[in-house]
Amino acid sequence: MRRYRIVYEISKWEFFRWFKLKDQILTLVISCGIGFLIWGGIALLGQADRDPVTLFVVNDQMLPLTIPETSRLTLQRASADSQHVLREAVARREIEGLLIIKSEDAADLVVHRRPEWQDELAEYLTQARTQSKIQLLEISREELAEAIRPFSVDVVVESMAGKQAGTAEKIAAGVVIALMLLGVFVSFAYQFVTITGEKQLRVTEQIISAVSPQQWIDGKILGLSAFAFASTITYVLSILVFIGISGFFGELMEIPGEVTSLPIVVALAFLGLTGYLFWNTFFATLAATINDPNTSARGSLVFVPVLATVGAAVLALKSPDSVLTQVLAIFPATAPAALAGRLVLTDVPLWEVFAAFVLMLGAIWFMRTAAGKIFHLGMLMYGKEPSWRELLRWIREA
Amino acid sequence: MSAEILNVDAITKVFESVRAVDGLSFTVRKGEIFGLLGPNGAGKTTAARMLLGIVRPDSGFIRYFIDGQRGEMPLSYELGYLPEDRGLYKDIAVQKTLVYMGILRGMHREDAAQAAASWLEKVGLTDRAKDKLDTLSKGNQQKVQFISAVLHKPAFAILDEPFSGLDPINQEVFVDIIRSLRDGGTTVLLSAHQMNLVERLADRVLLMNQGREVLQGTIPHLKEQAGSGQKVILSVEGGAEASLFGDLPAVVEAEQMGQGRIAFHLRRGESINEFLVAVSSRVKITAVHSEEVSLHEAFVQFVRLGATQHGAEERP
Repeated sequence: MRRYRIVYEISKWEFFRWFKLKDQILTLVISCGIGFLIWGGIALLGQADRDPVTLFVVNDQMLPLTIPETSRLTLQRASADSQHVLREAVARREIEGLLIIKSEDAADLVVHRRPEWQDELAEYLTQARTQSKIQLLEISREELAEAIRPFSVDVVVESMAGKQAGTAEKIAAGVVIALMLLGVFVSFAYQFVTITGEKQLRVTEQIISAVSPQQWIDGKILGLSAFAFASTITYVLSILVFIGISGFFGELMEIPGEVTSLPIVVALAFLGLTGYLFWNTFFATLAATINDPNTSARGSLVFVPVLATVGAAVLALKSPDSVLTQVLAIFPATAPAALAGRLVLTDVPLWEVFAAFVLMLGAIWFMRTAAGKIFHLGMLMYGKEPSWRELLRWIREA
Repeated sequence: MSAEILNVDAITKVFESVRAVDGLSFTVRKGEIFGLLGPNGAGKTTAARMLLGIVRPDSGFIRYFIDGQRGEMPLSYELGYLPEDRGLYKDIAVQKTLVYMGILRGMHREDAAQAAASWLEKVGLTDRAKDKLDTLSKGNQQKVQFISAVLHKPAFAILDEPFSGLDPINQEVFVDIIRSLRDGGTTVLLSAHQMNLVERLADRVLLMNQGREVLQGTIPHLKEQAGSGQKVILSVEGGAEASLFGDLPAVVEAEQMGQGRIAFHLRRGESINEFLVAVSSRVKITAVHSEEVSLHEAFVQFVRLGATQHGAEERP
């Protein structure tokens, strides 16, 4: 019982050493600010886009333009003689634009900067020209409409994998995978700072005389995994706040149902927790063998899991149903990214989720045992690092 | 005689080609301060780590007898350890760190907080309890480190070089703290190389050199074993050199202390009177001062003369 109490106390210490509620609240406040800035900015720009624009037209008799009442554009006829004066007025920004129609197929638009309404104007010009051509060809409006009606194709997808992901699902999967990666980075950063820092501060020996190395590393893994998970929750909340603010400005972003369904949320949360535990075990073990993080070549090993996770993430987004992605979704090192992607993008059989979790928990248990041994011997090595041969021997002994 | 709390039997530890500890044996009695002395690299820290189970001996046995229970390794709360390589969390408040250390040693949070407050008051750091450790002076940081090692009132405490890095004033503070710890019921094993301080504190001492026992016993017995007699300082006329008296049979070592002043280390059992007669036959003595040889001097003398000249003797 005392053993578990000590592990709990160590994990609590490690968690609260880094978790600061005010920092988490600050993150949410900043997200809120960014949300208001972005969505407010978009709303303001949208408002500017709806401001009325008066456009002077020279030679309008060549191509009679019809502007609907709902358009922000208003045309004002001008004589060919006034061209020079109007050009100067545009340059002085006294008027927004001057349209000089040269023929049915060509016109000059004189503006002081490229306007937002250029495409809209081009559409009206095209319509005017089409109207003019119809009159010349003597084709009725109905006949023309029938001729240019788009061909209708109904897409029916038949796939063994089940559903097909749209853009929204892919974005959601990308966000979920990014959150998993965030946990890996947080775990890496804090395990290295904590463990190599303790070695350099010489805290190690006093603690190791009070608790067993296994208790210590268990506490560290649990505490920092919880911290990584809590950080992820803060970021999830930040994203939700951001989405909520989009609704406040009438531009509510849609969250795909694949991400919000309860079974998926539970599976993703469990995957996040176990994934963070797995990587924290790896990073804690690696950090214990490093004497000085600034000079150790072993620190570059950290990129192996990062690259593996990023690789699995890319593959999961690109081909969620490929055999390789399915294998990576079960393999503990890549499951957090690959399975997370698959859960959002495609239908995943229950056995696969179950197998991934069982393998993950087994790998965590094996690694923590080996980590305890390496941690014990590595943490007391000052000034030098254990060789690979020594590390392998310690793992065998564990 | 008090009961044994620790029995160490022929422990040896070899690191690659270095025999850090070589067949070391000793016992520590309940309620005493036991000094483990020796120069740097003597093997004291390795021995301390073996006593704590941090490093396992290659051979030999370590047995503790705490509260009538015999075992190889006591429970965490029964031991206290101040390591030579020390440090605490510098960015965390003193009180918080101490409570954490107490909890790791098996204390309840409330008890640890109470004990931390009591110790901080004892060493005059109550007003710094909420300060981060790195805002304290080095001496005060050492005090906090010491408290973290004994906060839980262990039955047996191992203090490795508790005086290193301290100024003379703080060394005296620590001498008092260690005494009060012993008076509070904790048996102390003190590993240090400041022999003058240990001489004032320790009930019994083991001197080590190159991983092995050199001498062991009470301080007077150690001095006796080292063959140390009196130390006599003479002022003589004519500025005579110490080398003039190296041939005197009573003299272990003659040391020049200044113009006309020579310190003589006499062999154990030699008569001061006869020694003075021998010296006065060569030079005129103007002043005489005698004192007991310090443990430091006895150790240096013993190592210089070589252990082979000293036969194994019964330990008191």
